[in-house]
Amino acid sequence: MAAAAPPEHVSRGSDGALRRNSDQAKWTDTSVCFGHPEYPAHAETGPLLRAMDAAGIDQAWVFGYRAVATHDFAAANASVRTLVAQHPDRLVPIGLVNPFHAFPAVENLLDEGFKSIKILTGWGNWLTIGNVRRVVVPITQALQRRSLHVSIALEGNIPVTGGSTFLPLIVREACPDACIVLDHCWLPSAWEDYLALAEDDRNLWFTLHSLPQALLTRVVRELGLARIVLGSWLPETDPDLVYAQLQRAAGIGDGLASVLRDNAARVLQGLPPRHATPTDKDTT
Amino acid sequence: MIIDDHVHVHEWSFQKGDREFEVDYVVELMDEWDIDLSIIMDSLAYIGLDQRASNDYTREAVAAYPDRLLGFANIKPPQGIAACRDEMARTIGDWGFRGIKLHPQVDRYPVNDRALVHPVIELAISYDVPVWVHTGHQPNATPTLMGALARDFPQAKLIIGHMGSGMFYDAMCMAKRYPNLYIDISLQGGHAFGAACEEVGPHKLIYGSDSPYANPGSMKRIIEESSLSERDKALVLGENIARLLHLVPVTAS
Repeated sequence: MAAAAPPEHVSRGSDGALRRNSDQAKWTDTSVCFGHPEYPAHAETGPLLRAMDAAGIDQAWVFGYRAVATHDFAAANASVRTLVAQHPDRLVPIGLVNPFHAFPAVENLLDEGFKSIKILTGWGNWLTIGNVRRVVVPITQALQRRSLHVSIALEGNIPVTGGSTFLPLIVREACPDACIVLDHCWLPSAWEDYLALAEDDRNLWFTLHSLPQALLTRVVRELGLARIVLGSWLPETDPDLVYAQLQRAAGIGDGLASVLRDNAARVLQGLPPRHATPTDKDTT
Repeated sequence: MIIDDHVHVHEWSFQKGDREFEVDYVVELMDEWDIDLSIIMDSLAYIGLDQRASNDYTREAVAAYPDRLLGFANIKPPQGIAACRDEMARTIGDWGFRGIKLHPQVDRYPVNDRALVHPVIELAISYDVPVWVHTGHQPNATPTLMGALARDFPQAKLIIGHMGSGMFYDAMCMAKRYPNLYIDISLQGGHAFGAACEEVGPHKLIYGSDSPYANPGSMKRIIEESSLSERDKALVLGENIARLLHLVPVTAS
């Protein structure tokens, strides 16, 4: 059987690797795993940068995913720190913490230049409604004080105990002006809930990832591109294909890359989406 | 008065010869657990029986125990607003059923669907009856979508069935946010019940058992053995749903 043809905007090089055709379409991948325990071959700097180049990723936000296997958050963050120090122009460090012992780790990480904290809602962290108030809200407040965003990694492939929307709702209730990014929204069946949530909270950012194409197209239509960043969770998925899928959903060709770059830049500054409500702190 | 807001009867059981879902057995269970009144609905509508036949059987069951049972009508929005309007006129208008039940998961529609569901909610408002919605399944039957419905219809009296099942925290957030959104606590456990008392308050929680699928005593015992005051227990065990059904005078809660 012949191999399937690659999408139009990529071509296969002599080494068999996919490469983007347009140098203009450099985009930001806001969720990249470093040291993923299930993908040891990708747990080195070389494969990560090659994958970024092949997919047209100009900048990647990297977190030390090995911590989900070890719960050694300090070591995972240290590996990210070392990695980013080698390639500060391409990589942005995102911290992971044990939410139940988040301080002073959060402040230390931010002092060291980490640009956000990603909250992992699974992996043994049972975030009850009370725990969200006790641990996620203070982390969000610490980030907000420095004009940084909080990233909440939701469902993955399984539902979060207690539901799909309570976590951002509780955080928003306590931190009305915080920059909140919902990441890891992988579960297609949860998107009806996410869209209902998005309708009520116009300042929420959503990290998109691979979804059934029809659903992704609907999601992009209802959210609007101004609220979207892309996060592949490389190496769990091929970022180039995720990008292609979003490009098809958005229907704007290589213009998508600059939108994603611009949105990601806003998130890094802790800003709301451009088209959000008039009460936004930033009205540009 | 103890009221169980969610009880099923069937004309025939899933297992032939099993009397679990016969109305006589349902009332025996009520006696055993000191339940004064139960809201019943036939659930065969969810395994193929049409809404009219299903509601016919509920009517027969209520007629057998008119002092112990109140009927809720199974309504299936995908059958079209004309059919739903006729069925609500028949069951609520003619027979005196006190509310409707929707099962968006089995009938496969998002519970906030504008075309299918909104007209049904408008009818429920016009009859001034509560809408009991099965929740616990994404994508269609979720507490978050119930929140969207409550936002769009602040006059409707909406009950999140089963407290969202696994989505119990979402149910709490939504019920806290929207004054017209109530929580049926059937099939939940002590943690969810305790958290809901704290988050939402007992004035918006409604005792239900999903009997005979579940024993009516299990949830009732959780309430009775909780740290709630006797006054608050009474709210959950009957007064809240009684208020929605106008069985007791409306009082400030």
